[in-house]
Amino acid sequence: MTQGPPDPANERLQAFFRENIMAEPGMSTELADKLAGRCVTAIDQTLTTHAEKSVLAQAVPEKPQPPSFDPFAFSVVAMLARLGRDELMSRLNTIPAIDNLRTLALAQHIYVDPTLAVPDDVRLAIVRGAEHRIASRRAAAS
Amino acid sequence: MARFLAVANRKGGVGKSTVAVMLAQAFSVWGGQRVLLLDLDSQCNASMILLGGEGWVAARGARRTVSDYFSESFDTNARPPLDYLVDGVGDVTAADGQPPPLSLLPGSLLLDDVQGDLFLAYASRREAPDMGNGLKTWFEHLIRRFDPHFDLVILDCAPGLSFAALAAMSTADKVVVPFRPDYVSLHAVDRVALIIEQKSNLDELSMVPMELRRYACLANFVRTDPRERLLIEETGLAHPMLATELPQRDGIANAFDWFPQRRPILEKYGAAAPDIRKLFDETSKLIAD
Repeated sequence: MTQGPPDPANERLQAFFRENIMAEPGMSTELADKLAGRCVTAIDQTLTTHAEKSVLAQAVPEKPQPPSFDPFAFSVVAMLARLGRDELMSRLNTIPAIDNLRTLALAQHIYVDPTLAVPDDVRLAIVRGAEHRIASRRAAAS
Repeated sequence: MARFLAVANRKGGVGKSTVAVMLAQAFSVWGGQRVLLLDLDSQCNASMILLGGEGWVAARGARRTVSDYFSESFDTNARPPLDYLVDGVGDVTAADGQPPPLSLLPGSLLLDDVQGDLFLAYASRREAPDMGNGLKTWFEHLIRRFDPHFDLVILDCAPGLSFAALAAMSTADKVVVPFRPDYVSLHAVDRVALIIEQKSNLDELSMVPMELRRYACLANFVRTDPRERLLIEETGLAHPMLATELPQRDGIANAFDWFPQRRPILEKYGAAAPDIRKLFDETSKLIAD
């Protein structure tokens, strides 16, 4: 019988079971691997479709990841209006990655020229975009 | 002496009528106040909520609507103002199990037409240079005639800028401006604020301290979307905001179905009752200022 490529869903399940079985005092690595393998095989025989296994594998809690960038952590428009341009620029300077700056601009509906490639240019574009949004609101209410 | 509280926004679909009804029921039940709700919107949503379809038709048959009140008051055969009201409306009970002291001047589908007719009639009788303002002032007078009989008069305004809505906003001691946290509503709040404060632009408006403004904004239909949070904050850059926000809840719309059996207010509003209590507490302070 030919063996196909390793199934990522099975591998995740195997790791999950191994980790939990190893938590048992006195458990050897060899036995833990064996028991984890049996569990995965039993599940494999029960769940016939890859989709079912994927769902189960996704239900396995993942190890904590570093916090992802929150593009809504502060409002660029509110910060500009309340604290001014310099404060906003200082805050934007705490975001080094250009991708995160772009994500923030997109999430907050601030237009940034997609051809800009330097973080400082993107920061300046965000400030200008926020100024434009405030000016646009003022113009509409007149 | 009554306090007058308008619920207004030029934009439709922001929850003016439901907020007006919530406040009317809260002030009459929790506040124990004699409350009158004036339905100034030709959609008549508040009237449907408080009377049901049959009750509203009965009110129309008895010529107890805002159109009847306005048009008959223009003639000499007007009845006393209280004759146009329907008392004991709504489907909630006071703490003693009895209907709360809540009255309604029912809305009318004809209100927009009536305002047009009255404008022409007013113009034919007078040669005043500012007839629009004159008619608005006359509507203000009609609204104020309920003053001696109630503790609180809530004015449910139509979207847009009818004479009745303008009169309501100028008569009101305070105006609650419900809004949805979206881009279009942001601009709508700016515009209605300029009308309430009688300013021409946001720069002029900014000269009026927030604590002296006659209005406060109420974020309504709020979800957990972080983008909405930013829009609420952005709206608040130029306007006083109520700390209370009304979340978008599954089933809240069902609380406004006409229900013939009276029930306690907590039961009627269910999961939304704490939000309405918070709105009542904050609005009580607002109109006491």
